[in-house]
Amino acid sequence: MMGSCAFLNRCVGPALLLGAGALLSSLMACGSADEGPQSRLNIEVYGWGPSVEGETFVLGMPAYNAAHSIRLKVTQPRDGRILLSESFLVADHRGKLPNVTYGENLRVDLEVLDTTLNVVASGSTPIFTFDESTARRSFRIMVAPTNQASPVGSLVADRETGQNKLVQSRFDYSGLAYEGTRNWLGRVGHAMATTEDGQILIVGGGDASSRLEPAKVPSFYHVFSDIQLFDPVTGYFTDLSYDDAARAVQSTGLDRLRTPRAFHTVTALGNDRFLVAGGYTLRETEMRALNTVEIIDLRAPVGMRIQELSGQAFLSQPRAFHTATYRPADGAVVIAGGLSHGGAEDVLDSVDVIHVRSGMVESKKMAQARVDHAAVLSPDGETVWVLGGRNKEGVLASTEMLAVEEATGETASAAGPRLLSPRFGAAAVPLTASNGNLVAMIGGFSSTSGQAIANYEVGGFYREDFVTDPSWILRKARGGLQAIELPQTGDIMLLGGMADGQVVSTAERLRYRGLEDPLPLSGETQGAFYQLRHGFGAALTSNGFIFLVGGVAAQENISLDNAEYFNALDPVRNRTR
Amino acid sequence: MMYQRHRVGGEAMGKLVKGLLVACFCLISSQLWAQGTSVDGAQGPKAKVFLLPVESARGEITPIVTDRIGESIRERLRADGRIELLGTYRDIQRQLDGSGQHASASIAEAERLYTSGIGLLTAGENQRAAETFQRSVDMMEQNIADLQNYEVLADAMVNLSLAYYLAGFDLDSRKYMNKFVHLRPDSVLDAEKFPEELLAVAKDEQQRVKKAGPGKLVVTANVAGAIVMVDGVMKGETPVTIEDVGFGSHYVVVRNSKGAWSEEVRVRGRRQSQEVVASLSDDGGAPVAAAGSDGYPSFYVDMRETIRSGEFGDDLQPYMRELVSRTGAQYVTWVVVVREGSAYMAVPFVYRAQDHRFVRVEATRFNIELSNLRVGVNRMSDLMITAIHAMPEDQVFSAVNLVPEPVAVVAPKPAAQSSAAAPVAAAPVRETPPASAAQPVIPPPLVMGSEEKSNTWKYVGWTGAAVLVAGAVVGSVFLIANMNDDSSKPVGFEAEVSW
Repeated sequence: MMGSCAFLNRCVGPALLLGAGALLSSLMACGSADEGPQSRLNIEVYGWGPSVEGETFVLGMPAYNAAHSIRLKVTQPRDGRILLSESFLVADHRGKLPNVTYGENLRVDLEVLDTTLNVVASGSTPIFTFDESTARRSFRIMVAPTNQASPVGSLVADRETGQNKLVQSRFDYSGLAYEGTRNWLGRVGHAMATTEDGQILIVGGGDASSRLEPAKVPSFYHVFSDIQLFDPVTGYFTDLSYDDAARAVQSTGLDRLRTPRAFHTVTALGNDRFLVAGGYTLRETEMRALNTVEIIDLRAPVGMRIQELSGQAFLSQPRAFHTATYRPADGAVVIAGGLSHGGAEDVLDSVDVIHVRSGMVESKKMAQARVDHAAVLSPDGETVWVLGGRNKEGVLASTEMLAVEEATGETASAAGPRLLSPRFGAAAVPLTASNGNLVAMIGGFSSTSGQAIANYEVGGFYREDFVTDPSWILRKARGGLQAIELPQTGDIMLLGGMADGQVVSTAERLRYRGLEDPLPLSGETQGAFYQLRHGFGAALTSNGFIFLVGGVAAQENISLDNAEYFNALDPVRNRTR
Repeated sequence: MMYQRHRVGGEAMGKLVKGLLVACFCLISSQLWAQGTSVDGAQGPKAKVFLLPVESARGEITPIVTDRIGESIRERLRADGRIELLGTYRDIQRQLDGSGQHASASIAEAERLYTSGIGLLTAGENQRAAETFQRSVDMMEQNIADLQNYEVLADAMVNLSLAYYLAGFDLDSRKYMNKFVHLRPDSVLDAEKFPEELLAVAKDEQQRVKKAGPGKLVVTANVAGAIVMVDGVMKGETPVTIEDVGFGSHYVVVRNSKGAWSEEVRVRGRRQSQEVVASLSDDGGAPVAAAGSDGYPSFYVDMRETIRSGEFGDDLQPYMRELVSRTGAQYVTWVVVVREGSAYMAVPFVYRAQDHRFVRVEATRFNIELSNLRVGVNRMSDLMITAIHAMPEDQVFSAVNLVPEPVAVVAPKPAAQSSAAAPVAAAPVRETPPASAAQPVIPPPLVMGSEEKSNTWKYVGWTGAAVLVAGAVVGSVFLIANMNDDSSKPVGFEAEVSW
């Protein structure tokens, strides 16, 4: 010990000198650049907000109440880093950031502040790279009021006047000829996934002819085979079967699902490949569950982007309303439970493990049949945890862990900790602050009559119990909801859902207060939808907004063909390292 | 990742690589040096340790805190090579559920060992087969109250006898062949599998059993109506006389709804009567697993409840015995967290099955944000492992109370009616809680930052030195590279936003 200390003392002096030298040299190296011709990033703003015509899209900045200044920040959201921040007056109409360092995964965030420095509206570019080889780049970004929803806007040319105008984005109708005679692409039961460059796939779905209700299967006018690609950079939807080169939809119906389907699953496999499994299709007027799987490969040549899985694998049983979870440990997709042909009571206890590389399907059983359950992946990528749900016997509190058994090399189910409240249609959110070890089970229904639950409980992989507390409550009970964890703050946004037969109109933010806090997530009511909808799909986009698409308009019971953004302000903060 | 605008030449790159190698070496050396004795790799059999979930005394702390501490401890103990950390109770239950018929994890393990022994015997590894069968038989005998399939025990014994014979241990071979014959006096051994000498041993013992004839067992217990089983076969309820028990070693189990008692009895035969007295304690002795909340056996639920109360001691003994028999653990350890001002105090405890001894380990303090979680858990885990190995006398306890007594404030007593007595101070007096047999509330916490007790400063010193050296090399490379660089290139881009 003494010898070590002496050695340490001998080392520290020279090391400090060397370090100082290094610092000095680095400063010299960095400080001598001459100014050369600069490359440039141009950003134009449009927004949704107040104007002389009321709430509308506006080219430029809407007249937000009490807006005083604009804060521009160059950030790296994935690393939690602010590189540059400057403020300007709204009246300046322009702000320059003269010397932004080249980088990857950059984003420019714009915040509209009132006189008390509250953020009243915000918007961001998508995440982009700007390096030495980039001479010029342009974005048009949408600004929207915070803590509420706004329609997704896109710039189109007015057919009559030829002038550009901003409208609410709708699905791409160019492939409508393949979707039957009805001139309407509104849908529910579509599945979504995010591509590696931040676009969002909307796959299939159906135009519902009946209400969406808990523990019931809706009927459809039509079920779709198209794949719509939403680009947050432009706000446009594009039908994947549209061939850019030919400027037309491919005549043979290529790059569409081989079988139209709704309430199926789309699972990202990496490298822009996605597995589509099961779902309901419409045969004549009858709903039929599917046992087929298809692969979407966005990197394949145009016309060949929809493929069959090698070996033409089929699910062991036709199913819809199941869960599908990618298991990175062995590259398999674990498909659990769901409904088969017999409707809402025909609940499955089977698990199909699709080994994507070999095309083999391994069929196993769970301890209980379940549908409307949740499924989450363990942080080590080996175990799929299925939680709650319902079956013919009632609402389930049981959970099961599906993992590969060492002895047999096959997937087996083991009982997991029981939920404190039986629930189906709940949201399961792995908490990033716990590295995904803890999972919050939020809301859901406690009975098939649609009685919603207004609390959450937290459990963990390999823990023995779920925990909750009387204070762990939601402001509004809801089941069949969407829940998204915000990457910067760790807050969880709850959107949509139903309670006692009514669509929930407001969003709720569960503010993350810390795992050691007696109230780890504290509920706070937020704004409403632009258009009250239910059964929509939701995803976080690279511009920081939550993208809500499709669903059924709550009042009119019409399937929707448009989208809106919820602006749950989630500012980048410099993370402590 | 930010782009580096300087080009680094080949020579400079070489220097950079060398520098980084030096830095890596320093870092790795510092880590290994700092770990010091923790990498010494303990030899010999590892203690099997069962860790109970971390509890909060009287449930005053949110489970998320206790769970985080518990997870970290489990992770740390699992990674430590000096002990074998068993799974959670749920894991063990799952294992039991999977086999479908075992009441004890030890029995499941014994059956696994039996299967493994068969494989070794077939492969001709007689010595290892003998060791494996021996462990299997020992485990079944130790947990005989939970054994349901006596065929496995009998088969393990006869194969153990064969393995001993083939490995050259004649006496042991005879011993287990005889025990097998006592259990299965009418069995016919496979002449192709067993050598003649061993077949002769079996035949001799069978004749001895036959000649001696059965004996009589009179089984009584302090509780009437308890079920009596001999070699896994039900023979009646206490008190009971069993007439036809064969000569030799047999296993008697007496069980009621609250517990079980077992003993290996050597029956003398010749119609002689032997008395067997079973002792089942009134409070259940070792409580039997009636299903408690969430599917846990009631003994497990009650045990955790007792621990959560913050006041426990020898009253945990029956629970611990049951837990040990069900998990196969040699040690049970648990941690109770209590709030102390703006900090959490975590107090670990260890139970040793061999001598039913409890020891209390030094408490560790965690701050309210748990920012010292890693350091604290590392220290606490090391102390727990040390305690498991040493079971120090001065930390043994029979009762403990982790919940501080409320501090009573009493009114001043009236002054004594003596003119000589000095007037009593009017201020209230704090009464010291009466001394009790219990341990002090919480011993003083460990000092985390002490150089003598922590490696943190070693890490900081060595890692800092390594980083400085690496920084010097990298900085120099940058300087060299900068000399040849085209400095007319722009450092970045201009962003313009219009609204």
